[in-house]
Amino acid sequence: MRLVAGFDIDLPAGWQVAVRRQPPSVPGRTGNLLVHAATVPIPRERGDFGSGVVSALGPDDVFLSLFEYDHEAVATTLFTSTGLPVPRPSDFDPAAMQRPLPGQSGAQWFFTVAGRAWCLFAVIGSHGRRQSSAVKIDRLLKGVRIR
Amino acid sequence: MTAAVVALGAAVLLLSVLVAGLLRSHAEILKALHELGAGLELDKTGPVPVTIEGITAPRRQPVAGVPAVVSGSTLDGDVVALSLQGQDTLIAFLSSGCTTCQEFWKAFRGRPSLPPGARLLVVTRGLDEESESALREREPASVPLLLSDEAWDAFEVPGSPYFAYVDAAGQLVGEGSGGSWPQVLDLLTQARADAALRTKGSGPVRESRDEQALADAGIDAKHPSLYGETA
Repeated sequence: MRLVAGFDIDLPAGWQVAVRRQPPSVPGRTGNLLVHAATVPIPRERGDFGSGVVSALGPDDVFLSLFEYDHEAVATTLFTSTGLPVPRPSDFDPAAMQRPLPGQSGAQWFFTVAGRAWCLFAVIGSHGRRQSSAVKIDRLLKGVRIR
Repeated sequence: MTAAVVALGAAVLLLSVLVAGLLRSHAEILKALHELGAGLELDKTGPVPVTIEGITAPRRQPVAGVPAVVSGSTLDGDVVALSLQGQDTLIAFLSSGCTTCQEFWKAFRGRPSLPPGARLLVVTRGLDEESESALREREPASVPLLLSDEAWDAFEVPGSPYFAYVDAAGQLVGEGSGGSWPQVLDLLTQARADAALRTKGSGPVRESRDEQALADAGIDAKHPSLYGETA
């Protein structure tokens, strides 16, 4: 399913996704994409990295923020990794949360896809269930196509 | 005598003209109704759809055409896609302008009661056919609002208000219209219960399944075990 130009997704059962454009960093330029996906309802009012959403996660829920950076960032060391990440349970760490919440855990990856620079920030509802949550996130990412 | 025959002939002629006129008038009325789409489509196979006010059993058998995902946009311009599997979803197809819909917009402003485990989603037409300012006035705070012509087309929504109940397996278990939220809720509860019975098997479904199970076990209608005798 094409959500916006250059971003397609096959949405697995139980997920919802919302895509918006960030305010352009340079006047006249199209804003970069900001994609949120979650297994809980995504509210209108929410932060770029999930504030307003992650507090609603249950133990089996997950939230993702796929944040696109300006094209110039592709050349930087931070984005040398190419392709969407394959999350592993060991990637998740409660200390990776922007604002720690009891039981929750987060992980972050920087990478380049289709010549575009991205950050993926993932939050899982329970660090103890990171095995199944990582699989859930991987299943979603396998359905994402960026051009 | 001749006068009587002539009078009778004239009466018969007059009656014939009247009957012909009535038949022609009937034919014109039927033709007009057919053009308006109100005629019975007897040339088609399968059941003739009947419109009633209330949640009815799904029109589509099997549940073809019900999408696994609904997508559209929000009033803020976000593009949203939502899986209809994994949780029961009640989709309320509303318009900002329809009179009956106002009752539902009002009911959704608070926290509307829902069947256990179900979520509510309001879907309107896109902004080509909707008023953004009217939608912003009516948009419920706690219920997601999606603008999606695609969803209206996929669910073959005949008009608003219209409701579709999709269960966690992505099956359409009830759809139809109603005049008030309590009425819709009541009818939906009934549709869910009916769907549960259909799934479990009842009446002819269960009968057929049981007969098949007996046949598989080599037990037919004349099997002695059915008559208290040992096989």
